[in-house]
Amino acid sequence: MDNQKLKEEYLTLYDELSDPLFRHCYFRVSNRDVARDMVQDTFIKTWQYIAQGKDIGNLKAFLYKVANNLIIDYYRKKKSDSLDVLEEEGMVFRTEDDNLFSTAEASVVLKALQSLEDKHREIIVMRFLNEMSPREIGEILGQSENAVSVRLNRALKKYREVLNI
Amino acid sequence: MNEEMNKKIELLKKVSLRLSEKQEMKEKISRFIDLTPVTGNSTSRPIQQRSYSGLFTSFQSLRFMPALLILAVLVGGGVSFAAEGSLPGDTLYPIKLNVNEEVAAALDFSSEAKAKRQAALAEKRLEEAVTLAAEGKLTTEAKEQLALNFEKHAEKFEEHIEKVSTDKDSKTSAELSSEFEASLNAHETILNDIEGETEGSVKIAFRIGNKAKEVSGTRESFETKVKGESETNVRANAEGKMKAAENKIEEVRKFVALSSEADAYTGVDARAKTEVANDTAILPMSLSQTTELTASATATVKSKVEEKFQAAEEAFQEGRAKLEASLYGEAFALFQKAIRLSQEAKIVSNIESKLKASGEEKKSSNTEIKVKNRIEGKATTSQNLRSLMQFIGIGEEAKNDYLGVESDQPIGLPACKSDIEGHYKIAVKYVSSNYSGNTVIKESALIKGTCNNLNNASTEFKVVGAKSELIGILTVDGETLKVTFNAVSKPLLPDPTTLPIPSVTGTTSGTINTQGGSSGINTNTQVTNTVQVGI
Repeated sequence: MDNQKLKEEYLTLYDELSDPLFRHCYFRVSNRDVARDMVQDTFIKTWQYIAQGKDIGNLKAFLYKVANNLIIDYYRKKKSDSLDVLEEEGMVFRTEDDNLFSTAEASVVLKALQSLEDKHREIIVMRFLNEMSPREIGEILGQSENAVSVRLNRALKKYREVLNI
Repeated sequence: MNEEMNKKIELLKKVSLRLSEKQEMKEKISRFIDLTPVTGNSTSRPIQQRSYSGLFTSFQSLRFMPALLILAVLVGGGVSFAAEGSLPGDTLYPIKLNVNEEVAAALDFSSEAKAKRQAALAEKRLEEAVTLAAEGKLTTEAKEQLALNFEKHAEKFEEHIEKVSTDKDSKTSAELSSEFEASLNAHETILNDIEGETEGSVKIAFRIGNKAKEVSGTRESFETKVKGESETNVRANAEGKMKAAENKIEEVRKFVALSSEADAYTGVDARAKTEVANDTAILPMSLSQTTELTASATATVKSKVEEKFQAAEEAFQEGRAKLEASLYGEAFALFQKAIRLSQEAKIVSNIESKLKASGEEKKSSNTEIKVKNRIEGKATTSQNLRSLMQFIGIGEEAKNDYLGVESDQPIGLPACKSDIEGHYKIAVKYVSSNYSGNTVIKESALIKGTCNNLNNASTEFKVVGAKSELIGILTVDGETLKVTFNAVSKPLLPDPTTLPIPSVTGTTSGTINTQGGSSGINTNTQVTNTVQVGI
């Protein structure tokens, strides 16, 4: 496998996964720019691992793990930066991003999702928006398929409650 | 999943990257891949195709012999990594500037990220100047080189910050400028103090001061723009800022209080250290210089920190008055000022303790981490005093062997009755460690157990290794008296790998000094524990 071929495959994977990863990050950090930079970082960092000839296993799961680490770093950094930033940006849903959604209904749906606990939101995004199988999700989160299904059920229940359907 | 839910989920799928963004990003990643080819035995590496859409989902490297692996890592980008910690005058320093930093900067996307990057790079030059100055190595040549590079990044910052206000808003531009300004002012203060003793050449502090003035002007112009927005907006901004300023002041108040206690604490520590130093044959020459320099600067720096902090509080009060008078734009600017000044106080105080720390670091020689536990409280009975001492045990189940006290029941923390600001139940401070050849950056105690709530304390330190950083956190739990050690290894750009995460293998040893207060009521107990860490 030469470098060129690897590169092509990697970029094809980028085409396929950049949007799902973007969603994955966006629904966690609620900030478009931050989420976009995270997607780029994810692909860069993962490539660095590949370039070192490291055993990565399932690449898709690996990308999600890298993205998750970036999200954790982001919040950790925010926390240590200062409380004000966290309060100003992180915890509140930013209305400026609303232009993603033209309709009022979409915005309600988004805000409802935003109001869920992190772990619930994450799993809904993975399963339904990014259409991953419970097995794949389990691999990324380090949980059994069964545990994923249980969590998913709870998450859906909560989401329904919030949406009132 | 019912029909309705499906519809809602479909709506959410609209969250996606713009085509242009996707394309631009792809180009950047593609360029990056070209810059970072696969090293080692890549040509024959099999890529297994698995279920996922026929794309490669698994990378399985050949089973390298360890020696071969090490070689591959050394060949692949080792130089640019090694350059990361270099300083002006080092052979690798140009690589750090021209390769590492340029590559990293090329990857930034938004104008905001670009502005932040330039500010960070400018600050990096200032930190390098401080490091060199403290070691007495800030030559005229190094000074000039640093100043020029610093100015270059500061100018780029100003370019990007303009774009931020059009891309995003003036508020963000004002905030970023204010942050940068705080850092400039703080470094100017520090360097002014250190340079004050060196005569002749042009001061770098002077050039920083000039830039700070420019940035200050920029910041004001953005603040004016913020002021010109609709009244609801300005009002919301001002009120948000007030909260932020309040938090910031509180944060810095705690930080400064803690580090001044830590300083007092280091005083005791220094005596012990001297004994160690006498036993050690090899001591770096620069060590004594550092100590002298920082000692003489300490007094002035202390008052500067207080001065800045006081000014911050005044600005905050003024801001509140303006807010009440419905002068929202002015209130916003004043709250920004309060945040800026507190941040300056924090940076100055932080650099000061780092300078002190760097002296001690050089002395350690074993692979070990020393932490110091300190407990402060009021012991009114001998029973309490005993539990005070027992509490300080570190290691498995806190057996306290060295105390000669057997404890088979859990020991609670003694009652903490102090109302004095900054008094804490327990604090743990990282003293020293050595990670065979890697640089270790000390961080002071991060969390302290306060009288009212927190029952544990932790300390954090950073090991900067060949290709990654390792962040270690030692926590002492006030309830279970257990000490836990956690480490996170974080790969570094541009060529990361992971440092081995150490396991805590040894136990602890230490001595206890108890000092009775004037009436024998106040008790300070200090123990130095050494945690052996195996890699």
